[in-house]
Amino acid sequence: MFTTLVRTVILYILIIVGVRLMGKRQVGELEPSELVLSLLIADLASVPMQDLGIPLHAGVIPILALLSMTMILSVLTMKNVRFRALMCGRPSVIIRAGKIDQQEMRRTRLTVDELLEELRSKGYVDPSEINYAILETDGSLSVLPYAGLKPATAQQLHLDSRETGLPTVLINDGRVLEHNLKGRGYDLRWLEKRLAERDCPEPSAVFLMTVDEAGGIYLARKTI
Amino acid sequence: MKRLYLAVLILAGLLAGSLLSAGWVGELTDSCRTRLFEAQALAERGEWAQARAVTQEVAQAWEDREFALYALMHHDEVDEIVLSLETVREYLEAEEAGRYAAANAALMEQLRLLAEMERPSLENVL
Repeated sequence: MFTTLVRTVILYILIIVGVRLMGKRQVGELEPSELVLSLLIADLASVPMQDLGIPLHAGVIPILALLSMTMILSVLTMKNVRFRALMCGRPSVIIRAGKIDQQEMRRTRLTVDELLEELRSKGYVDPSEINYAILETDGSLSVLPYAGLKPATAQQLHLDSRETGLPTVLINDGRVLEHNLKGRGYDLRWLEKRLAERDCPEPSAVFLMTVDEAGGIYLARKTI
Repeated sequence: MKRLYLAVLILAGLLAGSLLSAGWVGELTDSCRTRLFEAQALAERGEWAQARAVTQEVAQAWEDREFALYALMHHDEVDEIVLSLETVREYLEAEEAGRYAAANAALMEQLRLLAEMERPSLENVL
């Protein structure tokens, strides 16, 4: 029992450190080599966790070796374009000038249903509206419509678009984030004043309060 | 580049560690087998007390290294050696020459196979 617990903790820490070293990638954005690594690590870690007759190093050594090789490969893929193409593949153009490249779809084993689903998720229903649709190496589809079909920007419409900057969270679930408050150059008196203006008695009644660089405030009260 | 060096260092460390561990297990099992062979020769000459003492030394040497052995090898294999050593010692106590010779030969073979399993060879890799 104790051994299982200690082994689980050791392997968990090892995997967390390893995944952290892999970089800030989302699970859905894994390259093929990273996906293989994740699957292998999960399997390798689970065996010595459950079977106490197997020494811990039987799980630790392969995990360390895999993480080291991944690090070596990631450095090599950064340094060498050909190696990167070999390891990660190349993006595939699925739609070019509104025409679906069926040969490329077959090569990448992308079905029509999957293509249409991806296009719908990006707000397009008609492939003829698409100038380029590119299947990226992580499996996501980048959709570039014709210039005339792109949503108009405020600049194109000559609208006044004031830059509000990045909003900073000041109150998170009733807790005042004083570090953020000071970082924006405000203090608690300023915060109390802003809350009073919005008929909010105290920070604990606020679910979320943010302030952007232009001084714009967003406030959501707690409802439960 | 720092990550590359770190990764290469870890791999080199693992490789060195695995070779050292295989070498250590090989040395330990070889010395145990040599001593067990000596004990068998003594028993064949009827010197049971000395054979018992030599076998006891082997058992003690194995016991002293149990922590490292359990950390490095599958626990079942280490346990099997411990059980076989116990069997050999029992036959020595009883001075049963035939059974002792068979049990001792089996123990020496187990030790050889254990070292063989840890040896860095193409046979084991494949």
